[in-house]
Amino acid sequence: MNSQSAPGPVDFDLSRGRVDRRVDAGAKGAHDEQVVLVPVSSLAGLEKLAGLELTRQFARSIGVSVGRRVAAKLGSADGVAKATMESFVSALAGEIAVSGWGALHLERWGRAMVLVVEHAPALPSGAFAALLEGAVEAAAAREVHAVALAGATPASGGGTTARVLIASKKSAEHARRWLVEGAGEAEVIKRLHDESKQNGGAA
Amino acid sequence: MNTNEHVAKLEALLARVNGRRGAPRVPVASDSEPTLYSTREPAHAAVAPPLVHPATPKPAPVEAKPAPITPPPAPVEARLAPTVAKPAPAPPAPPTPKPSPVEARPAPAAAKSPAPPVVEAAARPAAQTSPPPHAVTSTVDVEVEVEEGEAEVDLEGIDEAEGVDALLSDSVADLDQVAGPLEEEVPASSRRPIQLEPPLAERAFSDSAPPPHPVPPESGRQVAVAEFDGDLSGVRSAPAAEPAPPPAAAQAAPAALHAEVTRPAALTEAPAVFRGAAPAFQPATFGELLDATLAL
Repeated sequence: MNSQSAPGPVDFDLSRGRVDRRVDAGAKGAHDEQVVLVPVSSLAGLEKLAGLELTRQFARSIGVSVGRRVAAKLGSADGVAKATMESFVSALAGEIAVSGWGALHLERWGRAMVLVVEHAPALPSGAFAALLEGAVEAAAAREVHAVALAGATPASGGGTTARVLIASKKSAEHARRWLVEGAGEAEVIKRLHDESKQNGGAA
Repeated sequence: MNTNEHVAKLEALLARVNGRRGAPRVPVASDSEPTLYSTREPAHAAVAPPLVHPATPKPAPVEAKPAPITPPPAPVEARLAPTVAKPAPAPPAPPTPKPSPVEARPAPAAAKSPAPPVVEAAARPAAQTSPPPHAVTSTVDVEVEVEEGEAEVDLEGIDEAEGVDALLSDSVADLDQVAGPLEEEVPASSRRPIQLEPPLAERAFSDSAPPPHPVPPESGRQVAVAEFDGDLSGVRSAPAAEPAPPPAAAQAAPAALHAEVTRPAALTEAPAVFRGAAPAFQPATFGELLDATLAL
């Protein structure tokens, strides 16, 4: 660490050749984490080398690391659950942006939560869903399942846009099936709400 | 001309008639006229050349003829036309001051009238450039002479036994008859405007005027048949372009339209009744939203 510069979220120690991702000063139960810079092209070809499941696990592990930092930033998993949506989105978007995964924001479609990452690197389909799934699960300490609604579509300012639905395991399975059948994003969300009503869920 | 002048003329005429009564009867109606003009023309010819306009036709050289000239049957006014046009630069004179050639004529009885010697006035160049102050008097002489000529013609047909009263009445009638045309008719060389405008105006603007000539047919190929059946040859001509709309100014201005608005009456009852409130999911925390989305 360069003593002459103020500490930042990423510390490049050139004398030792080390890059650290630092946690905030108020974060509880977290400590600095060493990171490496990996070319996106290497990650893009990982699916062909290791397969889809390993690629998703690899991306999910990255997301878990992000979620832990968010939980540490917000205090704990309980703090994440009690935090406002703006606070949680700001903490999660900050970690995503520092790691170079793009600009994140949250959309609420009725009762469904959709995380949108713009200017994201071109990753294999489902990689971003796995990354965000691991981040939310680690931050909230809840089992969640993420479904890539529209995949990684090219964005106007460069990169791609990934839209990810956060749902339960059952709903995620239904959504994936409907998407394979050709249903659109809005139709999938509508069907989820319809099924919830039929099952006696909250309207 | 008042009555006194008429009486004076008639008296002079009567004196001449009485004087001629004893003279042998010879036809002098038309033969005397050349004598009058022949004696007058030289007087004007001496002054006329420098005053006559080049374009004006010169009078016939009757002055050089020593023998009596047979006058044309034209009226006295036409015969005097060239001489009247001489004082061209002078301002337009009233119609009455017409120089008469008979002024130089040694009339036996009329020359004794109180009129000034017009022969001198005609011989003076100044009298040609400006109207003589005694033009009115000369006009009187002209009328007298003309009337005299007519009277001479009439006298030949008068019976010796007729009374003087009948003669006087006829003479007065003749004077009125002759004096009218002399004042109305315009010499050929007069500068009066030609009175053709009224007839032209009437023809141009009156409804009764004959219609103008019909428009000649347009040049170019003449179509034998008004409408050609294109089905025979299968050839179709391009549709004629729509005529250009008339300019905005030429189009008739639409009448001012005013919309008659009918508005509904104010609603007295609410169109619908709302009961309860629509379910709205407004999560306050991220945990609530996460629970909701996981509950789907």
